[in-house]
Amino acid sequence: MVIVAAICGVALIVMVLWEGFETIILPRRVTRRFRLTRFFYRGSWRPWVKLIKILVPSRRRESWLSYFGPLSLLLLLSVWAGGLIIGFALIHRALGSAVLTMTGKTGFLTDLYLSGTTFFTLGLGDVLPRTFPSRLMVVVESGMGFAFLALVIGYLPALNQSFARREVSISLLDARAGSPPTASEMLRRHGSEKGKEALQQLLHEWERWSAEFLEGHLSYPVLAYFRSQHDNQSWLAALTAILDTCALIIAGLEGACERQAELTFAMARHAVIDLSLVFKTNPRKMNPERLSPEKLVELRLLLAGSGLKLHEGEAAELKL
Amino acid sequence: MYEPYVFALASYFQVSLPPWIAGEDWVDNWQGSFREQPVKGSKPAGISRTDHF
Repeated sequence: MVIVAAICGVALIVMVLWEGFETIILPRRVTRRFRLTRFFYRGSWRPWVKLIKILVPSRRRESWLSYFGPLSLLLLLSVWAGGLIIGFALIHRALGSAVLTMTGKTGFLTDLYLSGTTFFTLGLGDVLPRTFPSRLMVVVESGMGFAFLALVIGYLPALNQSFARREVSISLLDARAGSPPTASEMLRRHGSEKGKEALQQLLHEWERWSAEFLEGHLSYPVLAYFRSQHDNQSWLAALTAILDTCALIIAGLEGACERQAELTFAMARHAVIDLSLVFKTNPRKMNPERLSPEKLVELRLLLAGSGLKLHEGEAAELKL
Repeated sequence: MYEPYVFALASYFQVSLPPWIAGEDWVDNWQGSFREQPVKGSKPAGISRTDHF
């Protein structure tokens, strides 16, 4: 029993610390199959969506879905704190609950209480460790509690900054490509000669945005659950509109900035593919197609109305 | 080349994907406000998207 408690306690502490390290400090994608954090997010996001679909009217669903990101973060931090507290309590148990209490009673609940008050550095002094290993554990745990608090304090502003940077460009897209943003509007609004220069600049900015988005969301995948503040806007809709626009230019839009479109397309696609790897979303075919042959004809006419000519013929369509 | 991935992400995150062509009755966010909520299917008074851009 003592050995089992010790092994469980140490394993729990190591697991939580490693998860915290990978989630907060390590700035790269983790490919390990089982991760507590991934399990936590996958296990809570889908039920949250289902629950909202059942309980919340459709016009309010977006608001409720947007609560998930921040709430899940607080819950995840609580799960980590709880894991560390239980882990240290198990170690105290394995050490024989070597504590002094005012009532004289000891047990796992007392160990849990000692662990909790130590982790949050309360220092009440009503339960005291009486052997050297127990005291050592108390010192280690209180240090860990401080470190945990410091990490959380540093983590939240970093997340907020990354989120704000992401949203600025998405908000700017409102006037440049409409709400929701579409390729047709983006090209139509940049149809003039000066507009073409602005479009090149815009695509250049979005190449950079995509790179920053990728780096930020690989380091902090939880950001993907943070939804935009305005109606009809989201990071995915913006990224899709940019990819659509680049695809049209690459397929052959006369006089448009093809080189920049190729560069932006490459970066934006990289971001989409890596994000789908992080969230393990398997690619699936859309049904019906987003750009049917009829829609393509309509798009050609619309662009022609703004003085933009999309190449015709099998080669252009195949490229598209 | 990218649509299957985008579609899968949209399905997971419960996000609507934009179509290739904007709807004729759509209004931008900057054109409305809480005080003058545009009625769905109509353009806000005074500002026309196509006139502005």
